[in-house]
Amino acid sequence: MKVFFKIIKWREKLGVLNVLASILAVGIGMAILVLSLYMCQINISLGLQTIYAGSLGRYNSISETLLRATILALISYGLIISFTAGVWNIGAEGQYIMGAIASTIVCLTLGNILGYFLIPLAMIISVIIGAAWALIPGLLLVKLNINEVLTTLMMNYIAQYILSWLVTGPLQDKTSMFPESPYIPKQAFLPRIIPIYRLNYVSLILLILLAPLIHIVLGKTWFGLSLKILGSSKRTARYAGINVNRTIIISIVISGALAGLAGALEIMGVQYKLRPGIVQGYGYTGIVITLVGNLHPYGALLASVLMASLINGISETCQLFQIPIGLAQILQGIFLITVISLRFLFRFLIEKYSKVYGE
Amino acid sequence: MANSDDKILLQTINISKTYPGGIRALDKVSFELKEGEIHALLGENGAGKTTLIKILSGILHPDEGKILYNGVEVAFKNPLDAMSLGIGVVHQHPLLIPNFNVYENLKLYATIIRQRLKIEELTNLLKIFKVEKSVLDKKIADLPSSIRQKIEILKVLLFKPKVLFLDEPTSALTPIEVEELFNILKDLKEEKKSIVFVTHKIKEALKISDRITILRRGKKIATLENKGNLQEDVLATLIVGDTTLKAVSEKVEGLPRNASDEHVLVVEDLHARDDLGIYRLKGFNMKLRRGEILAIVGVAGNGQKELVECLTGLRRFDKGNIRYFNSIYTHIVDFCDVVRKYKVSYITDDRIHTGIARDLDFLTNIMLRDICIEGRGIFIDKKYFVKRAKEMIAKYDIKAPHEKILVNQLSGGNIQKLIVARELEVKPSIIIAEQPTQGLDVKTTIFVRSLLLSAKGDTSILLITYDLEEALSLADRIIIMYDGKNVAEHSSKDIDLKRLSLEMLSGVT
Repeated sequence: MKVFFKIIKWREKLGVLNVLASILAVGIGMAILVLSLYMCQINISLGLQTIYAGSLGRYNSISETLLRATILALISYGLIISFTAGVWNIGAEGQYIMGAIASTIVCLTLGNILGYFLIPLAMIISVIIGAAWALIPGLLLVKLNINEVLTTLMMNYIAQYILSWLVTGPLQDKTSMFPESPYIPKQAFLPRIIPIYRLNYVSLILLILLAPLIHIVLGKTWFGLSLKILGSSKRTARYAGINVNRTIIISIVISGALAGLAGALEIMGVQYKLRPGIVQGYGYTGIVITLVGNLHPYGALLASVLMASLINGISETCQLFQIPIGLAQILQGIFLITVISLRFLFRFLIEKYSKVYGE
Repeated sequence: MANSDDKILLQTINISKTYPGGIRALDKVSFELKEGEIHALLGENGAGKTTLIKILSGILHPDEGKILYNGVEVAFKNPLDAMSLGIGVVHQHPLLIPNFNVYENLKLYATIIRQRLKIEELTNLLKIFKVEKSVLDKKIADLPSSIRQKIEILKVLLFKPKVLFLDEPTSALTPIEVEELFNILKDLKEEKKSIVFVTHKIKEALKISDRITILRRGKKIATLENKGNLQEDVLATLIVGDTTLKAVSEKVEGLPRNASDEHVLVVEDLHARDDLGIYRLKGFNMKLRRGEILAIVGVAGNGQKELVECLTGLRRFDKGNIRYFNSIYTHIVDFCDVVRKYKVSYITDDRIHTGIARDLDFLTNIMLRDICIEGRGIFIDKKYFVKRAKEMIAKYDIKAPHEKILVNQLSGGNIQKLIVARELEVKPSIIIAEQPTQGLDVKTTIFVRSLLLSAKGDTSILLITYDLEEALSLADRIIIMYDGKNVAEHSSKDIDLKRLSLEMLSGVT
């Protein structure tokens, strides 16, 4: 163990070890990916080439990967805020669905009236609805002390069934046999960068601009400091004079707002209509990305591109080689378990072996 | 009465225990318990009573020394080892599962100690304790604390331990219930059981025990036979110690006495309850003058914690008011607001869980108090705080290699220095200091005290301490707190230690 700390001389810096944990987790995940390809009797180099082609190898796949990455990153940026405050919002999935529903309804009802204001309005409404969906468990937490993990998780199912009801009922396209809404009007489509690829300006700008913004909020503002102290200890936060309940509510509402926005981007930039297929577990993948990204927006940015690449690349590989499509999900699980256990291990090692100053 | 030739059942020889952080809780303590006696263990908070109990019941392991049971050396690896020898412990805070009902809790305990739960015994004990049988079906969480305490005692008695430890068992009981408990204990004594009764209440010790052992600061001071000839005030002096007197004469003199008659913090007729709904403050009054150090002294659990919580907005009070300078509060909703207006800082006694954010770095932790004072802006001036962190490390002699270090890599003493430094560096007008030197080594204790003394004058300090010596060596005035009330006030110039100890320990004025 001594050697371990000699090799990395950052024994004081848990942060550095956390980054190491993320890198190792990705490494272990990749090794298991290769192992699974081998066990499916797929030529490994061919398999990896297919994954690459399906994720970043062609213009179209780059566009699709970044598009998916945007939605994941947006959800994860929000989760960073609430996780930093120690509020375990597992409900990004439901907040995302509610955002998607809200933007669809705005686009379908006001689409022909608003013109240029349609896109910003639909985005604002979905932000509000996502935030409101997160506010409910937030209030339950601060007023009645009900564990937010349970309530946010349960609210995902409520959102999902509201979606099912809408696409088979009030919002169903009368001309379609499938449970889906009509297309939203053309002026609600987010403007594409290159017309033949779906990647759009709004998504890309949000992906890139929000990361430094979150970084500044967390690292350089008093609000960010309050979040960190609250996440470290509620009692310390109270002692410091932080309004604990308000801070909890703000953090969960911000994460709900960003998840809601992600839902709007999925409708107006990817699907162009509401259908059950928008539910792809992004809320849960967002949790993995947040933790693998070490609760840091730049980490989340990288992790969401990585995860989007893997989802796209692996799904192409699975189709091509006729293997079960669950491989990408298995990888997510492995990332999550390894990153959490490695962090725990490193923390344990630091507390056990590193020097205590002043004794 | 136990005779001196009675068999010694349990004995410790030169037991020592040092906690991580260097606090020496027990220093070569030899203690013996005879068969069929009630032995009181008397001492102030932090004297080492609970540590001794924990060692004798296998919860803690001694650093050195021996434990003999029936003359044979034993080493308890865990509480089960002690239980299997027939040692039962009634803990100060009932160790019952709140969501289980009483019967389930008893059943669980029986399973743990691998014994059968005998219904007749249980019915019998319930009758003796005057507890309704229907209580068995009630959840612990729904029961008042006196019943919980009874259940805790009953739980242990049910399995007929040979040796019974009771750690402050009367804290949640009414005087009548205490009387009932004493009767039960006397019956047990007749059955040749040995009982260790831990308390800081001299009266109780005198009433129930055959012998009394006094601990002070981890050392055994004396073991006395209680044959009705012991004086309360003699015991009080033994508990508190003569050294405290020395502190008065050694007090740092020649400091500016800027104390004026202007009151900066006034508490009037404060009533407040604890989390269980029991009144802990029953009409407390105090006035802090500008520029003085006022000490609130008393045995722990007399309302000090609740007082500080009321003052810092962490607890609501039912009656009375608190005045900071010109603002009168009947409830403090936003302590931040008080801090910003009047620059009040607060040194908490729970340094690890409350005073710092453990998994954040030194730099972040020194900013904590400024969230209220400067935190109305949006951005943090990081350069300023880095500079301040470096200055603090130098000025307060904090052993931190750099300001980016995680605070939980600092020792307890250094963490305390960090907290004191942070609270002083905001240049407060009032400091509420709660046990500021608890658990510190001698050098750091002197250092922290000198910091508080040199802050005096510009700053008014409210010192809440359980340590009489600390109060005597720092304060200009002392208020004795007993049972939620201020029972007496003394100027530091004329101190009658005997009287002070009595007031502290039994509320008599």
